[in-house]
Amino acid sequence: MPIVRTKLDTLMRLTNVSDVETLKNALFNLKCESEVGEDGTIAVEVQSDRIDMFSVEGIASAIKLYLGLEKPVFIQLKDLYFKVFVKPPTRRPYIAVAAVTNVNLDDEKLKLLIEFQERLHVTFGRNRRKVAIGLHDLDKLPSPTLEYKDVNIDETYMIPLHDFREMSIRKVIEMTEQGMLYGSLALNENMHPAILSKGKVISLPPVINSDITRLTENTRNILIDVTGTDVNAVHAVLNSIVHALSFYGGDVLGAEIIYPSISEVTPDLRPRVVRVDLKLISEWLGIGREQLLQIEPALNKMGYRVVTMTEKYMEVEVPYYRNDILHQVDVIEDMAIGIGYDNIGFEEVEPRLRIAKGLDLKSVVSIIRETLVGLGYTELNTLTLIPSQIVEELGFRDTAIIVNAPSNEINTVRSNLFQSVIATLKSSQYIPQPVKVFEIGEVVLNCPSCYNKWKNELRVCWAIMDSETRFEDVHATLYSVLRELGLEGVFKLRPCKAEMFSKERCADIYLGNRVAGVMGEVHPEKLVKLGILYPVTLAELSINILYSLLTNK
Amino acid sequence: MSSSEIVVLEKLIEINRVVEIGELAKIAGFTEQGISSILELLKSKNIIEVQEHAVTIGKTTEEGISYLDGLPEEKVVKFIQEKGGEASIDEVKAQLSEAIALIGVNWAIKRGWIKVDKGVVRFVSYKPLDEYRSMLRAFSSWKEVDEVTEHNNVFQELVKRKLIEIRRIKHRYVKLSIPIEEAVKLVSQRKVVSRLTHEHIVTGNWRNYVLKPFNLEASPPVIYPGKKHFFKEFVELIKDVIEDLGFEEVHDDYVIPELWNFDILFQAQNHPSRDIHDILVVEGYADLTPFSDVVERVRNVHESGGSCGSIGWRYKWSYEKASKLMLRSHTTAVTARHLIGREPPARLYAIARVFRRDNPDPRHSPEFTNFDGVIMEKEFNFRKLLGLLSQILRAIGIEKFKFKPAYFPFTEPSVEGYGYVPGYGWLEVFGAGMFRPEVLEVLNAKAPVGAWGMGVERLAMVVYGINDIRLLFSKDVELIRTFPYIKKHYIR
Repeated sequence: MPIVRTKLDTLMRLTNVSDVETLKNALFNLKCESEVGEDGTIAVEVQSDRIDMFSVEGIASAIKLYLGLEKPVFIQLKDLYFKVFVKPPTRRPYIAVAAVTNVNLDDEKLKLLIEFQERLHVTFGRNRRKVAIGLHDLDKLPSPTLEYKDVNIDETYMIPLHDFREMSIRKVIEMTEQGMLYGSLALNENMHPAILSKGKVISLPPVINSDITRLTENTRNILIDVTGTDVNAVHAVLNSIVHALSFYGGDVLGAEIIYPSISEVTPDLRPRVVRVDLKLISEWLGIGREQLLQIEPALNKMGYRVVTMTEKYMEVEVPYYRNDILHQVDVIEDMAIGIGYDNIGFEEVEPRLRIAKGLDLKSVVSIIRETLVGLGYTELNTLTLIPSQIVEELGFRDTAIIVNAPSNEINTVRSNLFQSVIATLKSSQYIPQPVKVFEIGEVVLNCPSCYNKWKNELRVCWAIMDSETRFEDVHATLYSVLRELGLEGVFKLRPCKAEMFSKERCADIYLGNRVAGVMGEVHPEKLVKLGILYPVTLAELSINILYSLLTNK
Repeated sequence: MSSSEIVVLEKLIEINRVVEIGELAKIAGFTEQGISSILELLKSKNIIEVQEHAVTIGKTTEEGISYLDGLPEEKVVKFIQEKGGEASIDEVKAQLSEAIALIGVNWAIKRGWIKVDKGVVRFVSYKPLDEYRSMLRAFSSWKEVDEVTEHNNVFQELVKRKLIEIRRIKHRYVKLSIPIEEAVKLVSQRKVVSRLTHEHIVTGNWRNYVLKPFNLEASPPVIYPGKKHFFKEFVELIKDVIEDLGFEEVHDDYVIPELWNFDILFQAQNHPSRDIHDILVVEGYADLTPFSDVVERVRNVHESGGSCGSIGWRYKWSYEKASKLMLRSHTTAVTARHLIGREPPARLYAIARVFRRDNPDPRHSPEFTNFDGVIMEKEFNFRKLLGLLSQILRAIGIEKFKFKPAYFPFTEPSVEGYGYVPGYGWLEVFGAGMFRPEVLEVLNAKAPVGAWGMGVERLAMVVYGINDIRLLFSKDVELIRTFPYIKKHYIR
């Protein structure tokens, strides 16, 4: 989740709150973790769905509302100042434009603004792929009439930000740092989107702005352009920036965006009206009529205005900067936050008697665990993810491979427990022997007929490592486990052919006519390859098969 | 005295001289290690004395062995004699190797056997070094160096010339410290046994023995019981708590389509948590045709909000993306899926492994345990959910807790529960909330659903005082063997 960092003093000045605990408590209830550093900064971890709180000003505004220091204010467009003619660029068709006056930047404000822009780029904007933002000094703009279209990169020229040379767009894309980073996102053969004013390129979204409208610490009025591939996201980002900049009290200038077939006004500051069913509120939250009557101040604390209240429902205005309200329950959550979760109270649930449905899997597992522990085995708890190297060295195939594993140590899902148990024995060779271990855990088997290709199976594996081991010990354990389950009469051993075992020193375990497991002595060559210097004898059983036998009886 | 002590004492009487331990061990039929502990016992009873002697041992080096047919200076002199009493240095070098020639000429000069003038070597005298060569032969394998030899000039020169290597080692010698008659008496006395056997009882022989008193000061050998894994026991504890509240365990496969992990939970397909950097992907696609009704509801709800009064995510939902296979990243994928087709009331839980794309480090594991539950009941609400969560927290031993508003894509309202663990402080224990109406529509749920999820390892680490998550999945059997059972009871 994004972290907004600023001087504690700044946040105190913007909110008029001088008590750190009050700030932190308000932030806690606004879903933010905060931490005050020794260097006098505060780091606020904001929720990824609340982009209106990605800026320090947005956070300050939410705090002031929550603490009741301010009533919800709904701003309006001062003027429809810009006209933007759009020939939708192929790879980046949407644009939204606005300006905010009297921001009066200084060093700190400029720094916060650039950090805010970057936060939006990286997270919500998916590294500018989905949304990118251009910020300009409005007073340097050649004309309020803008064009947004694809331009030929060899025939169009601009001065990239922080440069003084005019160069072709191709050169900007191929030679500048920003160009190399973002130049491929919207490039369509030899065409690239650009915003032009009086024929001059002022921005090359999503790569870089032009130097002619560069922001400085002396900029007073700010022009914002937002472009992207998702029209809702483009509008939401513009609104979040307008929300932050208008915190300083300036006017908002809008734009008429003229697409070939439609036109629209940005920013769209009209509050959305959401109808909230009163019965749903009390059913959903479990609050009574009394608390319902106090709902309006709770909503105000979260920035809403109540416009209609009837016996059955209320209508609320959702602030223009909130793009995370999809359903009336989103408003209901904000009510709950406004009321305070602590004030909602608890109502304990009644324990419900479960109806026994015969033997359950858990009981079978418990019998096996008890037996093995009683026989002196130590239980393991290992990862399901293992290195493919072990799988290969033991001669197994058909394991689920992780396509994007972060390392070769965890690039495969085990298909039996031998793989995990042997890895454990390998790292436990130098402790007092015998080492007797077992694990009960899931393995993942290839299943061509399953809808998801891979199915889980619950298994148990036990193993003995000692200076010498005897097949009888593992065999005796098998008999013991099966006896506790009442299955000792139906099992048979048959010669097995698994590659990991010595020839004629292993067995398939048959229960009735199903192979339910395998046991044997690990081939010395495999041991040496894996770096194990002691004999290992082990057995594995499918608990799912045991369970199905037990429950079909 | 134990029977082995008596055996050793008998042998000492038999030998009747000071004897080196290795030799005694051989005679008495013990290993050198085995006999040491017996001798310690005899020594503690003042029956024997053990003395240590340092001795020097020596062995001719490889270079020394190669000089057995003549030392280099001898070879030089012999060659000059053959040449009629004089030869040039170069001739000497050509005949012998350069190294041998150099050493030989130097030593021959030192011994006054030759003179060298302007590159010409002239014979003076020669006395064969028989004593040197027999010394080298004598030390062809490791051998003790007696005092005379050690001070012998020839020996010292050979050591200096690194033709014989010497080392100092320690020998231990045993001798009786009591008169031999007394020792004989001790042996002939009634034998002491330390172990009472079946045979002693059956034959009545035990009457002829002294049963050795137990040594209460000695440390016992270390043994370990067979043992359940401490973390799995923690999981069992949670299972007990939740089953007491009437919840039923549900299971599913690790490899599932994104549909169950994300789409049914109303997580937009471009949501960052679905990023390839966060989840683990398995190649291929699931066949979703058996779930076409769920798929249609998912599509409607995502694209336009369906019929539950939502505006949806307003994008083009992709069937292909939903079919992609992955390792489940949370068990809400399991509990939510199991709600499909159930009638209220239903109380389900899962406590099982989930997977994230993390490299293991003290705070991260690519795989960990999620404890997840859903409750679908008529008139279930947020207030009851908070009540249920507080019941669970108290049942696992957390008395003090607080709730914080939170964000999860599939619940509204959402809440994070923090528990206070003495000695640690506030710990985020779980995330929870009421399933969104969009999710209820997808699941076709006929009553409100409360849900929670928590990482079990984090809580277990705090409770057990473990600060590295990897220890919970350790491949070190010793760690599990030595983890005291009592620790698991701290929590309740």
